[in-house]
Amino acid sequence: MAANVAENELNFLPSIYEGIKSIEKDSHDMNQKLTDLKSQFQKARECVDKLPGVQYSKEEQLKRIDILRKQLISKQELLQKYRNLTNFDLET
Amino acid sequence: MAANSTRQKLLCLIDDIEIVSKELFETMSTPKNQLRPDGADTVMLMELLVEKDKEIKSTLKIAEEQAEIQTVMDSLKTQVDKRDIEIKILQKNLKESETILSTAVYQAQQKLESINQANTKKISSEELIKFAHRISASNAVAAPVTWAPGDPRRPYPTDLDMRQGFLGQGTYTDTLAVSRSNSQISNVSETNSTPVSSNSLSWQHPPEVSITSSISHHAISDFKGHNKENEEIELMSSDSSSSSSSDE
Repeated sequence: MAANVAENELNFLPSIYEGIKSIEKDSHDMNQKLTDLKSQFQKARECVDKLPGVQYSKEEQLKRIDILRKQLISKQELLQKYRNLTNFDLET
Repeated sequence: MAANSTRQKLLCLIDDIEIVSKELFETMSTPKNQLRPDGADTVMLMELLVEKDKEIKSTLKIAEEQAEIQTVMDSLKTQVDKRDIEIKILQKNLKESETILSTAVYQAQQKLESINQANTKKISSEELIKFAHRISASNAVAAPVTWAPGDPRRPYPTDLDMRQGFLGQGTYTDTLAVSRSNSQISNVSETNSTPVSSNSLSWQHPPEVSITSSISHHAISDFKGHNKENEEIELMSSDSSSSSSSDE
């Protein structure tokens, strides 16, 4: 969802094309088009800042998720160990 | 934030596109005869723009994947946090049970110690019963069940017991006097073969006897028979019955 929004925001080529067209025609709304393009760049930057999970590179993110999985497994094992502690081994 | 993070990459790409587009607009707006010979070609710039746009698209795809991974990471994180809380609770419970067990073990050790002490200093139950008999044989602990006035067995310490006791050997003159008077009373009651009624009074306190109106003069004389003064009193009282009434 957020990625789709970002895709729209980061699609600069049509706006740039509009700008080129207005320059070629030397029309009056050239300045307006250029300001629009500028504001689009600004919006795109804000949008990128809001994207989830992009604070790391993909490799780093994969590493982190691997660490988290390992943590979860080890914690699960620790819990199991604690739960099994209730059965006292009377033979030892 | 990591230097080569996807966010940084996207921001760099946006910067690049902005710069290239500016350059493109500048080249296009300047008249062709004023163009610098070393200036960038518009076609080249456009190609560069398209390339950058492709890069942005591919990076956005990566970002999309990363967003999915992020959701998985978030769920993993919540699970890890949940486990953390459970582990903490379990550890707390274990610590608590450890303290309880350690106190129980300590108490058990103390009990074992006392059991061992008892085992080393064994006393047979027979011996204990014998000792109990020795104490209670003289009726010093409690009166015999069948005790009645006139019974020679005493539910209280005898004169001999009193003299042997701490009070009898004490330095107080008062206590000595008391013991002496007690001895007189007991001597009287032992030596005289008095009737049951008088004997029952023998262990009462002397002033109480004088106050009691129903007591016969004979009983009083029996009670204080050995004292010379008492003998005189006895004579006086026997002479006239009015004196006894005056006493009242």
